[in-house]
Amino acid sequence: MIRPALSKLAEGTKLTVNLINDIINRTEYAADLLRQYKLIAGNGMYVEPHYDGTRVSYLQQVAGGASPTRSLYTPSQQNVIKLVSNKLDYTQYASYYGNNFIPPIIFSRSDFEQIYGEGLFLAITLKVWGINAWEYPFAFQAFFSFIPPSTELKTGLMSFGVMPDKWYFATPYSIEPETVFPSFSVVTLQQAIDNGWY
Amino acid sequence: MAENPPNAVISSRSQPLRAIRPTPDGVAITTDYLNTIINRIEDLVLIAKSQKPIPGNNVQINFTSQGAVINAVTQ
Repeated sequence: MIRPALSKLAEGTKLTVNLINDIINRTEYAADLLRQYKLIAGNGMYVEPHYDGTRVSYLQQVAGGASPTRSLYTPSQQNVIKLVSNKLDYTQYASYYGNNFIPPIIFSRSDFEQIYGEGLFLAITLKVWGINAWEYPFAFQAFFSFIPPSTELKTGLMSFGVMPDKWYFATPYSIEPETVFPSFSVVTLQQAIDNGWY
Repeated sequence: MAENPPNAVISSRSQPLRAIRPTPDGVAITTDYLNTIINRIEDLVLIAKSQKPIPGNNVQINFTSQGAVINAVTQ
């Protein structure tokens, strides 16, 4: 409810209950405005509260912050994830539209990102295509499967870790360095369960 | 690259309020002091109003009693 602005008091004004209530009401009005104007992330947005302000971005992730967590991937959202091998001269990215996996797309090698991992483990940098740039999601959980040539399907729930400015994760499966880069599919955990992989 | 416009300056008339020190005989509150409180509250209202989010490009805002929900507008 809008409360009228408080007028300056004339000399000799009595401190009445009404006056105190006017002060209280006006204070509560301001508090209510602040409550109403608190930013909450809706579709496609990300809100990150700080003591000195609120950072607002287009969504790539909502986890964290004071706003309610929302589903990161929904069928209506288009997301492209970037998968980079540590061992292989790889130029493919996988695109991921909502819950439907799209076969890898060929990109320029100049798009290569920093490579992580050692040994035979396949390390992957995961980025998500934002409005006009690659962004690192705050959190990502996906069931991951790949098919190395001449071997059986490998599946598993991706483990992921956090770095100050990057997320990365690696498969628990080793592959030979000369192996052609396997095909990927990234599915939701529910899909993995439905497929009997988990 | 587009830049944000400079922040609007809110003219602040008030100073932080100081707590009243109690005495055994009570406290006399002057009109001046009450006006200081009033000024402070009116500044608070101004600042609160200035925090109202305004939708920019490709953003839609729905105001609720719990907060302003911002949505990205996609074609």
